[in-house]
Amino acid sequence: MAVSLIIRVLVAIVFVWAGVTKLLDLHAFSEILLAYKLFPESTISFLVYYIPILEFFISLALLLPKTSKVGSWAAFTLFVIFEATLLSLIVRGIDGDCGCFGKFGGTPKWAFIKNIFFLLLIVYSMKSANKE
Amino acid sequence: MAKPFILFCLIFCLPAIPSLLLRSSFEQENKLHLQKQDKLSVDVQTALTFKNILWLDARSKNKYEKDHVPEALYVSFADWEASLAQIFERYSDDQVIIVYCNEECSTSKNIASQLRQELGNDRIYYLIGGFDAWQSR
Repeated sequence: MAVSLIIRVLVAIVFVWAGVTKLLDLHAFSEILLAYKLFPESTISFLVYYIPILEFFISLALLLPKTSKVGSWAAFTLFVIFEATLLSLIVRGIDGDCGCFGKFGGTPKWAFIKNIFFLLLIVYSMKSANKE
Repeated sequence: MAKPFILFCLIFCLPAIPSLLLRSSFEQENKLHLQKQDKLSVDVQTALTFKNILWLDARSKNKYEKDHVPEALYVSFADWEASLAQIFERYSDDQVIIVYCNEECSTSKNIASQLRQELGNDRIYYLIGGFDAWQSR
């Protein structure tokens, strides 16, 4: 119980931090999303808000006892989406900012490794919550 | 089973509402921002006419170590304080600062913009076309 709670709080803090850093410099984040060359230009103004707000929603779901299980699944899904995006950047040789923490995100390779760690944490948290 | 699934969908759908409401204000603001950004860029031909340039390499450390513009400094947002310290060590008021990264990357633009704020100098640019443009000059 305690381990699962600690992991959920940790992941929630990471999501809140990631969301805040993105919202603090929306222009830089929009430039990073454009450099991904994955999304149509017309969707960037939507995504610059959608991604950080989604991170806040997931953090909230992770922290509330009644929604923590669904929050864990949502966090897992978002990390998988992030990993797929980062993998596409690595494969295409785009090694600018990953945009994970606004403009202070590091390279896609570094972010990919870091996200695997968080994915494993979330899986562990879900498994230990199921056992109880 | 249905309740968690609905909640899961809500978590992913609800953020779309404020995002759709806010997007138009961002689009207008971004237009003004992009007009300012245009003055932030420099092409390689213009860059070569500057006399005293401090080159900043904003690509990955690996790429910097393989090859870079002579005397360019490696800079990174991930280690911003150390990058700034390095820049201050080499920077003088009469210098033009040009930041470059890869052809398809926004890091140089963001670093040039950040440096303009921190150094209060308008003679800071990012290189259009990045290191590739410099190599094929």
